[in-house]
Amino acid sequence: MLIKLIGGILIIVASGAFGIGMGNKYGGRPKELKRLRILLQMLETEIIYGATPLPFALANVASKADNSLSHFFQDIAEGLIRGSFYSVKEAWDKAVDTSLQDTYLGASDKELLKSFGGILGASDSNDQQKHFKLFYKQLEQQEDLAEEDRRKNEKMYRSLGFLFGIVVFIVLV
Amino acid sequence: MDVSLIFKIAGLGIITAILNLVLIKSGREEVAMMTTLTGVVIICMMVVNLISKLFDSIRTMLMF
Repeated sequence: MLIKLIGGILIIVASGAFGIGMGNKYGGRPKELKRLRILLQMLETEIIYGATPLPFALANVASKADNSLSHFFQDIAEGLIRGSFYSVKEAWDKAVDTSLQDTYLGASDKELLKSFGGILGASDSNDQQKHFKLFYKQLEQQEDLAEEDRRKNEKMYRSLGFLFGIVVFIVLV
Repeated sequence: MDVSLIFKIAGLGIITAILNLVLIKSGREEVAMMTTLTGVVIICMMVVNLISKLFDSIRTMLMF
């Protein structure tokens, strides 16, 4: 009887944790998109008003970001300072592929980011500002989509995990 | 005949109802219907033995 109870609790906790993990995937994405937008606004300020060279601007932004997004900017900045890439786009693309692995950003977000990499540092500050404006608009659209996804899925996956665990428990007992 | 089966069926019924509600709220009506159906089928599988036993006893009672 006791073993049955312990097993049941294990099943329910495991599937509940799985559900919460799935739900967090949807919850994390809009937050990270928003943080990314704020960081890019910092980068814009560095470029337009501070006239900081791009590698140092990126390093400055990285120092203000938290964990995974910080790695992203840090990697680009280091790659550019060390001169291990021919262009900003190369460094940017590689960083998108490697250092955004452990974020919740989806494939479409990464494509959008990659499309921005080729523009960064390729023209004068006026033109850059326009591109930044456009990119904010696109990011906001992506945020809206992610938010809608979250509203639809986050709660559902959380309760689904627990309920499924309870069903398995009841059927097996 | 044990009472635990009744509790089991009641529990499954409640859980199925909640699942149905959650799924409908998140806009997946067809999945909700399938889960309800699955719940019904699972409960039927639990009960099928008892029903066959009931038929058998009625048959012997009426001496067919």
